[in-house]
Amino acid sequence: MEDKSMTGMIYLFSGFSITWIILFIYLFSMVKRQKSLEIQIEKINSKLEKVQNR
Amino acid sequence: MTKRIFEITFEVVTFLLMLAALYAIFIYAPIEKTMGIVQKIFYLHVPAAFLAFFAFFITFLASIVYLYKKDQKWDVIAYCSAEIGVLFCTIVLITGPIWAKPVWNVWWTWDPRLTTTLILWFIYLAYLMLRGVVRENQRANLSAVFGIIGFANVPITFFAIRLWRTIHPVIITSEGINISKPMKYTLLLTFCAFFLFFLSLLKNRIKLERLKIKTEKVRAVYEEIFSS
Amino acid sequence: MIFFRKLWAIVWKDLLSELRTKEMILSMCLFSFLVLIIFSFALGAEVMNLKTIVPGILWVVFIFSGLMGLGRAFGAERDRGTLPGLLLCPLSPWGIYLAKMVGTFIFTAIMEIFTLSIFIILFNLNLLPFLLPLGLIFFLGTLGFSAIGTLFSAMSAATKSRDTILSILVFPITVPMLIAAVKATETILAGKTVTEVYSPLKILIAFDLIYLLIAYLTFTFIIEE
Repeated sequence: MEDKSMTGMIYLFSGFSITWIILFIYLFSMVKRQKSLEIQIEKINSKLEKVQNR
Repeated sequence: MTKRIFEITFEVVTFLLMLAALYAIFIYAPIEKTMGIVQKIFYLHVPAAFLAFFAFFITFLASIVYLYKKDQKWDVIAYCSAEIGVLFCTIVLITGPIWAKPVWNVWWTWDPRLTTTLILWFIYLAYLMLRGVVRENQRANLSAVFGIIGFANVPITFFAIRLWRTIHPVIITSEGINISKPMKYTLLLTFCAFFLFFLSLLKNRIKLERLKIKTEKVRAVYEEIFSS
Repeated sequence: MIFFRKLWAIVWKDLLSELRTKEMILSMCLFSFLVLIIFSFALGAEVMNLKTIVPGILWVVFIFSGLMGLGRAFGAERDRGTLPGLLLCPLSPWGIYLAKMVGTFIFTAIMEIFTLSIFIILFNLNLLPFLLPLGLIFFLGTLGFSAIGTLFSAMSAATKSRDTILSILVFPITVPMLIAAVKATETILAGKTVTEVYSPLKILIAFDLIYLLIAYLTFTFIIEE
């Protein structure tokens, strides 16, 4: 009886955790992509400034 | 300025609703009689399924509008919605078996709805792959056509799978959950929380995609200037 | 009428050019033959004429071999550089699509007739009493497959890994057609009454109509550049 509810808990826990892990991985990948885009923009900006100051 | 305030309030409300939903799922909602505590996965599984469908529907509509107006912003909406749809679809396909195993002692049931979701997952995964291999000048056009075909396929797939199930009779025939009022309210709350979360994800993903497109344009201009 | 004449001109061109090399139709038929043999080794020769398995195996072979021929519809045009010429034809995009689809249908049908004959010979199947209804089901199923396949062939012609993406696009969309065709074939072979074929038949007809309609509405966008 108790064993059944424990297995139930384990499944419930894995279900919820996998869902949140997937969502967080997606969120992190979005943040990472945004950061890399911002770095690219920075590079382009700095090169433009160098040319302007010449 | 007001737009920024609206955005922040939106995110905060989403977050609070999620917390409220979690409380409702674990503390407020009663434990189901026949299935036990595992049944609570249903509060994730059902909203995710609906949202995946909704996301693919958005892709379908945006694809149609794109073919009419040829404005790239609709292609961006279609693409981002498809990506998030695949995300939620994956969640449905993972939580489904995790729920099924302790309750019916099988990992997979060829339930028409779950099977149609599997096909839908393949279809929009194919959509994402198509975008990866097609050249830029045709990408929006072809993805739009496939986005329309993919969604139009759903009703006919569902009926075909229902027909198929009568050929291959399956052990599990129905869901069989007794829904009490507190469960209904919990489901509604969780659904609203996930709906707002979906909107927020979509909005941010679209913003990211637009940023990417802009960066590429700037880079192209920059390279043109410096190569001449 | 002129429309049909122009359409037939393109179909005839495809038929003639294939007749010269016979390359594709031979590989499709050889492939289907091989798959049948492999199935019999995998499942056991006695199992192969069981009325429960025959429809499934038949349609799987049709689809796998059919996929080989799909790439040809627009792939060959693109490779030989004749695609711009084809598009300049004084025929609406819908006409070009129909012409290509008819060509695909004919080649696939030839492969299917060949496969069916080999099946009957190798596994002692008696299909004679069922020929007419079976013919109808094969016609509708092949029509749906050609309709979808030609559409996706046009889409994947411009891509790098053409055949891979073609298969990935075709399989999920063809699922309803496959299920309905197999169920209909099975019902007919089991000698059941006509009314039982109605549901899969309805699905097949709906599938064909829906995808022909979608092709009509969207083909212009696929060949736009």
